[in-house]
Amino acid sequence: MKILKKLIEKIKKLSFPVKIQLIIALMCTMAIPVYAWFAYQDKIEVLTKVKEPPAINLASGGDDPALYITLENIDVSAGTDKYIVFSIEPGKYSAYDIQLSHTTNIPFTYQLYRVKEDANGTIEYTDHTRTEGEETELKYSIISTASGTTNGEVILTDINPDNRSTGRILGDEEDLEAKDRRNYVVGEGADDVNQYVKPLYSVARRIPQLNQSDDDSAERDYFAIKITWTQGPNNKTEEDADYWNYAYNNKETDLIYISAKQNTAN
Amino acid sequence: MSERSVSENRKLWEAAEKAAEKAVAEAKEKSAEEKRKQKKRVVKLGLMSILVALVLILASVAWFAANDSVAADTMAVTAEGVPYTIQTRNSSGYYSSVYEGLETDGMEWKISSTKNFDNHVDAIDTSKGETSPGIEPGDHGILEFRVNPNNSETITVDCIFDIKAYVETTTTGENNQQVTEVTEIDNSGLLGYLKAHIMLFSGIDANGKYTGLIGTDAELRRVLANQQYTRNGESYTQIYWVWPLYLENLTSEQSNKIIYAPTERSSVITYIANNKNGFFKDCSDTAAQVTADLTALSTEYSSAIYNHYNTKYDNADLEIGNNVSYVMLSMQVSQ
Repeated sequence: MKILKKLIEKIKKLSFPVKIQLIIALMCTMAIPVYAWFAYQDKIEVLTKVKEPPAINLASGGDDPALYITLENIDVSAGTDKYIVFSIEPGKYSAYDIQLSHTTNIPFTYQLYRVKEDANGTIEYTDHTRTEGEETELKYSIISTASGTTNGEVILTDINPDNRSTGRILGDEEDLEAKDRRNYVVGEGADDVNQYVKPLYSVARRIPQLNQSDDDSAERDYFAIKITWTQGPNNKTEEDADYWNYAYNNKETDLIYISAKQNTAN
Repeated sequence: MSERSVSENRKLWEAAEKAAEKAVAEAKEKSAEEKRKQKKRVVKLGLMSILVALVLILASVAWFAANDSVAADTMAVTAEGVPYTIQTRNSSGYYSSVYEGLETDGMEWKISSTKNFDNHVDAIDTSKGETSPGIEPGDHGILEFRVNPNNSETITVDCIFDIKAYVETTTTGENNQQVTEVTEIDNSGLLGYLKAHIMLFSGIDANGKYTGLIGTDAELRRVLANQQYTRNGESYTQIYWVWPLYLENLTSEQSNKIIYAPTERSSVITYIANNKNGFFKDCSDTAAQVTADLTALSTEYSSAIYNHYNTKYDNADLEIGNNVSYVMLSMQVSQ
């Protein structure tokens, strides 16, 4: 206490400017511990941007977007098959799954082929994008040597073979009726069109990207869906047991869904 | 010499006693007053000290804020009495202006062309048409730092890693001006995906496979424990970060598809199982089940098992990509 008393006495004796100097001096000595208190929160941080997720895109043939994929104007009496060209933009994914699902109104069968643009090809596609404002007729041919295919055909595996016992016969109204799978309810319940419709699903897994590139450029792998049918003979009527197995131009609607998903598992 | 009567003597005695008592009383009073004065002085001094402390704190804060714009090749904060300093080197990151706008309690991790968090101008892949750097599944890199002891020749510390996420939103403000705002994401699910999918390792072997997984402790913190540093040493600690593109990079039985050394297998499986809700979106399997499944996959591929987890892993990536704009990796040192 004596020392404190002496100190206070001395401080009292100091002139006002000297007192200010003393306070500044005190501040300077105390600044270090205060500064240290702040710096103790030792933490370093690094910030970066998260890129947009990579995408796998479906598109139509040529340079067209998916908008132009179409399943129209099939005259079943004029031939027995038709090809629909579409494409996948796999981006950075080296492999992907393609799944087809379709309704079963018309007795069509669907197969998937790998195709490439080829001036000598037989599969036709009308492009709407390559030359602005003009349509370009393109030709495609099946890549019979493509890896993972059987002579160019990508084998689809049925996911839900429709069954109660033996499986569904495409287009067969009587068969479908027996399995509560009728596409149409005709007559009085006409509003119930497609009431029981249930599509068939099939999938091809781990299709490798053809021209593999690590970038996200819009390089496309082209495919064609081959739709085949058996033309109905003229002498058949609805009374015949196999009538529905044949394609006549008496049904209008079938839907096919194409979906793609990356799958690079081993 | 005159003789005094007994009564005179008594009177004199009494007078002397009275005088003495008065003197004692006065002395006591004086002493009490002195004590009161001293108390006042002590209180005044105390108040003054508090005031000075407040002024100092404010002055220090101002000093820190003013120091923001100082550029330095090696970033470090040193002070007497602080046991250590974290050192990082080279330049600020590509997104330092965004970083400066965030309210954080750390200092910026300096990076270089080869040691960064995909936040260096050299991380821009122009062949992909990129105009700015960024992180995505499949990316990997190195970050480095060192800790310098200030008061001793060596120091042993724990390094604790954490991840924060931010979303950038743009709104149209007054006069149709675009206003961009970066806000922190507190969605624990989303943060969990980021913390799990951005993995950290402390080493790499001769085959380019990661070693020394920085796993989580009981509090789900990632800690690199007992790191020893010497004063003014040259060696920097390197941290290998990786965002595996495919789940098979972590689960495959084929060594060429795996990103880590075979010796890390069990710790990686344990890590995934313990953080299953971060690795997989909507994972209802138990940790024990995940461990069993991943262990089975490590010896023989099974499409049923793999596809069960693969989709969940990819969906977690998609959640990150669709909802997170910026990600911040931090490292806190504790003694």
